[in-house]
Amino acid sequence: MMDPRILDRFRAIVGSDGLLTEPEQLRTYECDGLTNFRVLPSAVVLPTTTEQVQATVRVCHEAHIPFVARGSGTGLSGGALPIEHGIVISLARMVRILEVDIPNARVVVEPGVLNLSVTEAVAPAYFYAPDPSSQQVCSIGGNVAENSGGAHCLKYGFTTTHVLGLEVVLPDGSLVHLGGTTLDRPGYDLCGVFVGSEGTLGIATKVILRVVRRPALIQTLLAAFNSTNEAGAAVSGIIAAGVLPAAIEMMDNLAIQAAEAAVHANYPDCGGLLLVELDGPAAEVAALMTQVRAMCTSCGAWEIRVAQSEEERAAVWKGRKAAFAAMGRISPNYIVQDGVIPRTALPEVMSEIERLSREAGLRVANVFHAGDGNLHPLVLYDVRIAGQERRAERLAFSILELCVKAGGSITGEHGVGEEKKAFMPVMFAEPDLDTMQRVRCAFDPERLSNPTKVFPRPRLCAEKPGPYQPHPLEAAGIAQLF
Amino acid sequence: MSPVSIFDEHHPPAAALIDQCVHCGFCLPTCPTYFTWREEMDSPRGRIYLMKLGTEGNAQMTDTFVGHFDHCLGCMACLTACPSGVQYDKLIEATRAQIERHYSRSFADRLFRRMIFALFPYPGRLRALTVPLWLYQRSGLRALAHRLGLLALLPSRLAAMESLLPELTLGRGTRLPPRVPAQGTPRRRVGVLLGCVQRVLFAEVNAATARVLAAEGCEVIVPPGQGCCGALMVHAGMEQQALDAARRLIDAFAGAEVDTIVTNAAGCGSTMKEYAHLLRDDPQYAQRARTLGAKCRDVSEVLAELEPRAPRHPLRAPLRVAYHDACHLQHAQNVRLQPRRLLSGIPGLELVEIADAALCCGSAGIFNLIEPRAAADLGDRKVRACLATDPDVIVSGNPGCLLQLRAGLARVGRTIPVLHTIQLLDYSLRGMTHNVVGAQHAAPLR
Amino acid sequence: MDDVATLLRDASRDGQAVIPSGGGTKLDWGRPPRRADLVLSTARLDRVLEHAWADMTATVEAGCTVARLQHSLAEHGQRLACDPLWPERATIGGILATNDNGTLRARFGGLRDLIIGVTLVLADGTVAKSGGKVVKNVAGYDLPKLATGSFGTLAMITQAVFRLHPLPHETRTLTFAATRLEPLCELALAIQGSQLAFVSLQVRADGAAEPALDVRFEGTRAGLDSQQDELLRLAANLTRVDPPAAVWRIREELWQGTEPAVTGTFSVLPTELQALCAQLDEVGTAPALGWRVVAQGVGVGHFRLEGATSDALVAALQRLRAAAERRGGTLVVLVGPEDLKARLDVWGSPGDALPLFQRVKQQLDPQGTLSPGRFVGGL
Repeated sequence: MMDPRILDRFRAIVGSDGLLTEPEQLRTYECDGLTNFRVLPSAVVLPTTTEQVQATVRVCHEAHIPFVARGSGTGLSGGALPIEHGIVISLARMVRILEVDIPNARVVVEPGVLNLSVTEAVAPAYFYAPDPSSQQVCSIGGNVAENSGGAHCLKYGFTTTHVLGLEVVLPDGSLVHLGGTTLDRPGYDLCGVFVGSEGTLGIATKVILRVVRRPALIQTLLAAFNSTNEAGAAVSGIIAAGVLPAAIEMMDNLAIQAAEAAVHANYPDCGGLLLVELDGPAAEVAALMTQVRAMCTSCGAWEIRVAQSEEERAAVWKGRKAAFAAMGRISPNYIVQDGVIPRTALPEVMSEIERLSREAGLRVANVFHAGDGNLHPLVLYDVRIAGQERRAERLAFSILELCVKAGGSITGEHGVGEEKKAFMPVMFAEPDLDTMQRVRCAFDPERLSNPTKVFPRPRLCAEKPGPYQPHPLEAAGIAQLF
Repeated sequence: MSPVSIFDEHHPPAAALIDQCVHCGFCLPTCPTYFTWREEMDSPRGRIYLMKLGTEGNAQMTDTFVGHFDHCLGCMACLTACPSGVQYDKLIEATRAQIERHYSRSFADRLFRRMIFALFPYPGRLRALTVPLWLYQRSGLRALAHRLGLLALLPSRLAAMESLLPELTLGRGTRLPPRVPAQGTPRRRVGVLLGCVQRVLFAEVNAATARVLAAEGCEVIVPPGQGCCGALMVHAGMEQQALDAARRLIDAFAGAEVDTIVTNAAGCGSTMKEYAHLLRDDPQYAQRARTLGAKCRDVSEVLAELEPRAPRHPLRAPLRVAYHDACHLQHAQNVRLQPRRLLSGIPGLELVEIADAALCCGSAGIFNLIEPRAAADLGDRKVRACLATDPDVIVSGNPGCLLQLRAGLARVGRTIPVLHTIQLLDYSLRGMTHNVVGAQHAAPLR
Repeated sequence: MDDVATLLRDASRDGQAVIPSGGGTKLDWGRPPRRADLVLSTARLDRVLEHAWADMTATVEAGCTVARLQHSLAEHGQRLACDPLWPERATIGGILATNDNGTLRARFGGLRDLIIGVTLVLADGTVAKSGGKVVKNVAGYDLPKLATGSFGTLAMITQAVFRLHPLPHETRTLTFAATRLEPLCELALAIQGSQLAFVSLQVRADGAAEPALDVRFEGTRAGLDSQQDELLRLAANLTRVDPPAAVWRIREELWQGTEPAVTGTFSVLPTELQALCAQLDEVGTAPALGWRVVAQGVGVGHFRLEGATSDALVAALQRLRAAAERRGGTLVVLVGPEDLKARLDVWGSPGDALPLFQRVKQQLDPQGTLSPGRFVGGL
C-alpha cells in the first residue's frame, strides 16, 4: 500500500481522474500482452501533458519510487510489467497528433497515439512505415521503446529509422530534446540509443516521426509450397537475384490453419506459404514481379496468386497479421517467441524446431519474416494439462538458444523486457552488457526507470566505470549473483 | 487468497470463455469506453480480466468493480475485432445478471432503473406519457425550460432523457392492422415486431416497414398482444424479466405461422436471434426459442434476400446519404452490406461512409440514459463524423441511434433529417420525391 | 583487437590523449583536440572479415577502406549502399565516426540505418560488442548508433557489421539546369513529393556558374524508362543537360579552392533548402566572398566559403548558422583556418542535451582519453 501522502502528491498533479488506486483497477495493469508475468503496481498515474509526466517522475525521483511507462499494454516481452512497489505511468491519454508537415514528410505525435493513426493522418499520399501486426492498437511510445519492426521493415527499416527526434523526460524529471526535425544533428545520437531502450532511460513525451511517400504500385503475391524449406529456397533465390521486396512473409501449415479459423484468409492449404510484396513505380514493380513469379515457380510453388485490388491485398495481409491472436482458436494457450536467425539457417533451424517440438510433445506453429530472418515460433500448449506450461517454456527457451547458436538474436522486435533478460548473457559477454549499463547510468543513475528489465544483473552506478569487478564475496566463491 | 468466486453457480461468466482471451488488446481501439477514458478497466480486455479476478475471488463486487461493467455499452464492437473469437457477448450478459443478483445499488440508481424498466418495455404506458409530453413541447414550456437553463437543475440522467425526446405529434400513432396483404404474388409470409419505443415514438417506421414488405410481395402479419422482446432487460442483466418477456413474445408469435420474423430495431433483432441461448434452461420454451430465433431477420436482411420487385423512384437527385451502422446490426448481427445495398438501389442516391463507423454513437440500449456524459461525448463525436461527410440525410437502422443522433445534431444547432433506412426506401417506392427534406423529420426544437 | 585494448588502457592510465585515425581524410574536421599524445591508426585492421551474401550482411574491420569493401562485396553483386567522400582513402571507422553519409541516403538511409553491429574499444581497454550479425535485432541498447557520429570521443570503433543491398541492374542520372536556384529547389521538392523512386537527389550552385539539379535512379530498364518520362514531365520548364563527370562525387570539390576558406555542412528541412541557399548567396555576394554548395533534397548539404579575411568568413558563418537554426536546423564548420575555429563554435549548440552528452562521455571515457575537446560542447 503506497504512502497516502505520495498518492496525494500524484493526485495533485493529475487529479483524482488521473490516479488509479483501487485494487481491482490496479490488477488490470499487472501485465501487458505477455500474461505469464504479473506484478501488482502500487498505483497507476495517467498524465495528459508533458508537465504532468515531469511532475510525476519528480515525485518518484524524490521518493525513490521506480516507475514503468506503459502505452497500450500490448508488448510481448513484459516490458510494461510493473515493478514491485513501483507505479505505472500510462501514456494512453496523451493521444494528440501535434503536427503534420506533409511537404517535409514529418509528423509530431504524443506517445499514446496509435501506430495506425499516424498512417491515417497522412493518408493517402503518405504512410508510416513500421507496421507491427498490432498496429491498430499499439502506441508510438511503445514502438519507440521496443524499436518495433513489422513486415515491411525489410525494405523500410524499423522504428529507429523513422524517429528523427524525441522530447524525453529523464528519470530525475528534467526534460531533454534528443535529435530534432532535421537529419544528422551534431552530437551523440542519443535519440538512436533511446529507441529500443525499452523504457529504461526515461519517458518519451513527444516523438518526431518521418513518414514515407506511398509508392505508385503495391503488388502482393501469395505462393504455395509443399514445405517451408522450398519456400525458404525461393526467398534465397529472390534475394540472390538482387530483388529487394517490401516484405517477405512465411507461414507454416499450423499458422495457416489458425489464420483460416480466425479471419477466413482463404490461403492455399500448403506446407509453406510465401507472401511477397513488391512496391515502387508501376513499370519497375511489373518487371520485378515477373522475376519473383519465375523464381517461386522454379522452386516448386504449385499455386501463385497476385492480389488484384486493395481489398484483395488487405485480405491477404489480414490472415498474416491476425496469426498470433488467431492461435487462440486452435490452442488454449501459446507462447510466442521472437528469435532471429540468418536467413540461410532457416532449413536447419526449422527441422531442429520440429525435432524439439516432437520431443516435447507440443505443437509449434511458425510465422517468419523471411526477408530478415525474424522467426516467430508459437509454442502451443494447454495450461490445464499438468506440466505442459513448464514444457512449453522450456521448449521456447531451447528455440531461442538455437537461434543464437545459429548466429542470430534472441529478439528481433519484441524486446528483451522481463521475459528474455536471463538470455542476455547468451548473446552478450559481460563487457558488452557492462558497457550498455554504463550508458544507462548516464541517463538513470538512481535506477528508477523500468529498472528490472533488459539486464539480468543491475549495475550500481556509483561503481567506478570499468570492466566488471566481482564483489569480493563473489570472487571468494561465497556469494553468487543471479 | 482463497479462490472463492464472487459469482454464483447460475450461469457465471464461463471460465472456458474467459480463457479464450489471450490479452492481445486488439479490442481496445474499438471500444467506445476505452476510446473515451483510456483506462484498462474500461476496455473489453480489462473487463474480461475483472471477470477472471472475480471468478478467482481476487476481486470483490465493489462500486468500482460494478461501475466498470455498467460502463460497458454492450455495443459488441470487440466481438468484431477479436482475432481469438472471444464471446464477449455471452460473458457480459452473464456478468451483468450476476451483478443484478448480488450487488445492491444506491437508492437513486435503483429508482431510476425501476422507472426505466417500468416504462420502456410497456408500449401502453409509453403511449400514455406522450400526451403530457406533447403538451410540454407544444405549449412552449420546453423551449422556455431550455432557454432558462432549467434543465441543468435536473439530475443529469433526467436531463439526458429530456434532451433525447423527439418531437412528438399526436395522432401519428397509426397502429398497424393485424394483416397487410402482399402486392402481387405473395412470395413470403413475414411477422413484424412492433417494438416498444419504436411503435410509440416511431410508428411511421413500422408503417413504412409494413408498406415496403408488402410492396415486395410479402404477406405481413402483425401478431396482436405482442409486447417487449426483452432486449433492454437482457442488456441490463435483469435475467428473470428478460426470460418472462421472451416467453410472452414467443407466445404472441405462436399462432402466426410465418416464415420470417422481421425486426426493424437493431437491438431487438440481435436479442431475438439469441433467444435459443437465453431460454436454454427452459425445457418448455427451449425448442420454440430456437425455432423463433432462427426465423429472425432484420428488415434489411429480408429485403436483401428478395429480388427487388417494386420499382424504386429517385428521391431528390443527387441525394447524399450518410449511413450510420447501429452496433447491434454491424457487430451483433453482422449486418453491414445489406442496408448499403438497399440504399444504393435507390436511383440518384449517393451513399457516403462515415469515418470510425465501428464506433458506437453512445445510444447502446439505455446507456445514454444511465451514463449521459459519456454517451454525449460519443454522440458528439459521431455527429461530427457524420457532418464531415456533408450529408443531406443521415440514415440508420435503430430507434435509439436515431434519437441519439438527433439530440447530438440539436446540440450543435444543425437540422439534418435523421431517418430509418426503411423510411427512405418507403419514400422511394411511393415516389415521394419531395418528402425527404421536410421539416417534420428535423431534429427537435431547442 | 587486443593490441588496441592494451594501447588504449595504457594510454589512459598514463593520462595521455589518443586520437583514433583511419585514412586521415577527416582528422581536420571539428575542433582541434586539446591534446594529442598518440594517434592510433587502424591501417592494419583492414580486413573484410565476413561477407554473408545470402543474408546480406558483412563484417569488416574499421581500417578497411570503403572502396576495398565495395570491391569485395561486388563479387556477389552486393554493396554497402553508401557513397561517402574519398572512398579510396576513407575507412569504415572514419566514415562511421564522422557520420559521412553521401547521396544514397535518400533511398537507403544513413550509416546509422545501415550499421547493425559494432565492436568498440573503450579507453579503459574494455572491448564491447553491440548489435549482431542479423539485420533484425533489438536485444540491448543500440550502441552502433552511439558510435556513429561520435568523432572518436567515446570509443574506438574496431569492427562494424552492415546490412547490404544488391548492386543495381542499371542506373541513370538526369541533370537539369536553370538560371536561378529557385525552380531547381521547387523541382527537388516536387520530386520528393512524387512517387518517383530516386536514390539520389542534389542541387548544386555557386556564385558564378548556372545552378543545376541531379537525380539518380536505379532499377530495371523498364522502370528507369518510365520514371525518366515522368521526371521529364515534371521538369518540363527546365533545361536538361548532360551530367558532369563524376557528378555524384562532386561535393569533393568543395575541399579544393583558394584560401582562406571554410568547408562546412548544414542540415535543414527540405522546404527550407531554398531559403538557406538564398542566404548563402546573400552572404557570399557582400563582401565579395566566393561560395559553392552541393545540397541534397533531404536538406543535408555541404558548402565552401572563400574569402579574403577570417573576419569576413566568421561573420558570414554566423549569419548562415542563424538562418539554419532559425528553422530548427544546424550548421557545422568542418575545415577552416585555425584562428577561425578558435573564434567560432564550429559545432553549434547542442541544446539542452549537453549535460546528458557529458554524462555519457563521463561513463565511457572518464579520463577524457579519446580525442578530448574535439567534439560538441568541448567533449
